[in-house]
Amino acid sequence: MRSHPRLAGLLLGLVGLLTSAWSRAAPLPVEELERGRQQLEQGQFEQAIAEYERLADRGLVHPDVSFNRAAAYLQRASSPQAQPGDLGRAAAALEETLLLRPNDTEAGAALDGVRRQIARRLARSELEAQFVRPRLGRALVGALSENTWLLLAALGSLLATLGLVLWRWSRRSTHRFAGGVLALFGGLALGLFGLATAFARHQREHTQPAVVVAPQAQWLDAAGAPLPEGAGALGALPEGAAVLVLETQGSRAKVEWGDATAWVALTQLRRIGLP
Amino acid sequence: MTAPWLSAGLAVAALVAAAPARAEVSARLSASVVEAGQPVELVLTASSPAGAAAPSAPRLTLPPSLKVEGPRVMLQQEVRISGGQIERSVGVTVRWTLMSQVVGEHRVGPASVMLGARRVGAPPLTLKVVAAGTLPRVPQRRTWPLDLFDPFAGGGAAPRLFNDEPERLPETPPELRVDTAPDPTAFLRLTRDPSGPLVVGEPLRVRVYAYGRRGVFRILNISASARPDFLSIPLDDDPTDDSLQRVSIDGEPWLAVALSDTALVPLKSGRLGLGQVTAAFDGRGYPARDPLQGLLRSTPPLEVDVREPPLEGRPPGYVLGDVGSFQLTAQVSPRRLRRGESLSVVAKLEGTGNLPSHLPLPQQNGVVWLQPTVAEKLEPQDGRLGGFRAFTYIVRVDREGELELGALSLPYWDPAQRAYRVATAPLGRVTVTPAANPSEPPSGTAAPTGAPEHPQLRLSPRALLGPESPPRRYADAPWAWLGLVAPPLLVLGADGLRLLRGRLAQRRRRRREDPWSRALASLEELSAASLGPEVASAIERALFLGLEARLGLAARGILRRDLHAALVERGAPTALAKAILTLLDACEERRLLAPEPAPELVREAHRLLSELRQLRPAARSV
Repeated sequence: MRSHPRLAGLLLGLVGLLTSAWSRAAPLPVEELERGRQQLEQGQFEQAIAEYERLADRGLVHPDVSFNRAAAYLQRASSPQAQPGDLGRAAAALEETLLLRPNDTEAGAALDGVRRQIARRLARSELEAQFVRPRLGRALVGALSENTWLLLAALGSLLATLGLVLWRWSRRSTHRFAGGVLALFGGLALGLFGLATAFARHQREHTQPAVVVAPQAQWLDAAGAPLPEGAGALGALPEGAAVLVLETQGSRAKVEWGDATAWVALTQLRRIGLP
Repeated sequence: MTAPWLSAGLAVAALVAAAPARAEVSARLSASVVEAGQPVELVLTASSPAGAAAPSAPRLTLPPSLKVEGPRVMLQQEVRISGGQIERSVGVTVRWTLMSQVVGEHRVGPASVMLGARRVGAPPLTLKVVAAGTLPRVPQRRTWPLDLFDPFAGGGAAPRLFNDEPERLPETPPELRVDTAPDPTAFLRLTRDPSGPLVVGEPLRVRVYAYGRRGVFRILNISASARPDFLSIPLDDDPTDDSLQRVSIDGEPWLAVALSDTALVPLKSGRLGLGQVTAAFDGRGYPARDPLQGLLRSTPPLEVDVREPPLEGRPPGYVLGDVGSFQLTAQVSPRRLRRGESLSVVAKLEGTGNLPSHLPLPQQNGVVWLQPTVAEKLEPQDGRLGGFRAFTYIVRVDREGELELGALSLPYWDPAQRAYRVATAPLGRVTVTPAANPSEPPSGTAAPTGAPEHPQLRLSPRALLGPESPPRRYADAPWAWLGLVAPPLLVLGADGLRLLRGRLAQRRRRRREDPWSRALASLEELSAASLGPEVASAIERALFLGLEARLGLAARGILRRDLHAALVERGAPTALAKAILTLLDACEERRLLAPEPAPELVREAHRLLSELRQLRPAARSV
């Protein structure tokens, strides 16, 4: 580098530019956020909801703001001013918190509580709470985060590289044998985990998580007509159900819930957005 | 004393709130006592709850002593906003004209309609018919619709609309004034106020008038196309009560009547269609293809431009659609109560515009606002929708001490001032004393309407932890994928390169050791200046190596006279074999006799070796 000062300066500048672009975040509207928090603490949940929804409309995405929005909806759900879908909206806000900060245990516990509450409400309404499992592929890929899959694939790549080096360059037969085994398993790991990373990325790029924020969301066909009861294996989507939006068309969204795929009205969903 | 009264009120409120929406059917007679031969009108109104089928198939049960004309059906659509949800209901108004010559009391009805799969009727009514001329005479006003049996109101002379002598027409009311008639017989006219663009929630007053030129008429049916983008509020309960008025259009006498007066509140922005209003004219001068249907006329389709109020300056808590000019007042009573008891807050919102159906409430811990009961009166005020809505809240207080209740405040957009305003009503303080028996639950609050359903689900709001950058997705970076595959590929590439280099070296080594290659190399080393013996030896060596490489023939050990046969036997063409022998002879001669350079021999050797190279290699001789 000493002999190429221009190149060194260029590289340092590029790294600095990339780092600053990566870590740049929009400034938080501190005043509005603090006002919403105070309103929430004083029990003024309607004003707090209005404040947080306005911030969401402006594109602000922050796990703590989503958490406080969930708290506001839960307060309203527990009050005489409760609106249909409040628990679903609280679940959506908590899902958003967890999406932005997956290790938020308080949000996770609160989400479990909201889901239990919805299940109890369904039971009181003599509606059966349905528990669905995601598709096997999504469940496997969803077991770990996208970055973890990538890390595992990188580990596989490293092992495969070491194995190849040993296999091809070592003079001792034991080392060469060990290198061959290492290269085989490292290559398999690289392929599998690389595929999982690519699938997770594809899912993130081409689908969007959403939560049902209506007491029940009716399945529709592609033309928007309600599907008759019993037409599918599942009944109507319950409040708080986490779905994946595959595509949207006008006022309808094609969603995947467990093994079922059909259309629902967009107004009955809240899509969880990442910046 | 307050608590029991409030408890009863709460219970009633709970019952009212819990009652499901039901179909409403009612009937009335325009007069309960009439003279024999005098017509009377029976009006049945029916509305179905939101989401149910529209009322249909009206039916009226009558004794034979009554003659009936009709029914005439008018469809109505009502839109309500409740709890943020839009509810639509459909209703009908059905009219029958009755007349009897039989003096006495007649049972009229029941009149009924089909609501879904069941028939719902109004209670029967009683019509008393007395002898003609026994009822006191009152000055009769020409009513609308004109009596079927007496269109000129009491058997008087027909209106002097078409007398030979032109009558001096009264001055045309301004709302009925039209410069030109779009149709020579009859037409409908729709007016809108204001005429410019609107903001979401700003009421638009729409009035429809009917004009006829060929004498008196009545309107059989009025129907309006659906207006899903508007909240429709009728401003005239029964516009058909208006009478026909004589107007002058372009110097010609016409009759006109107002058909409907409606406030339309836009629910969204964009260019919204007002739809069409269609009415059927009936009268002697209004011929129709289908006499039962009447002469149909429609208003032209219109659109209005609706925008959202500006984002700039929008106050917190503003709800899209709150547009108008409002005043808010509130009364709180009592001001002193015990913990667990309730007080009432009566908030009155009045003014013009789209009065909101609910108010934002000043929530705080220990103060629970129950669902309000709402009383309202909406009517046109100076050509605009206005009136009041009174919200009566029951507020339960579970905290002791001097409590500041805060204020009711409603942000709204004032279209006249083109600015946001906030209507505020301070609620003041109340004094809350300890409960009579703290161990007992608060009286009167055993099961209030909408009591907290999930008290255990309560999250404490978080203080913000500062900006949080979005989670990094390393898989989005191309270098991540490159980093995955590059190391093993580099190793494989390096190994392949190593193998390639080894093979190339081996090939070079083989080439060096190959007799054919060596022969060619020795031939290549010769120059044009090389001397004859040297050239001849090199050519002979190259030929012998070539023959051994290509034909597997060790030619050096074969007698020259047998060589031709041996070459042919090994597959060489005869000409080639002969040429090789000739060249070998020439080389021998040149080696012994002519020491000068021999480039022609080198050229011939190259040609023959090229031909030899074309031959298929033979098995090497042992």
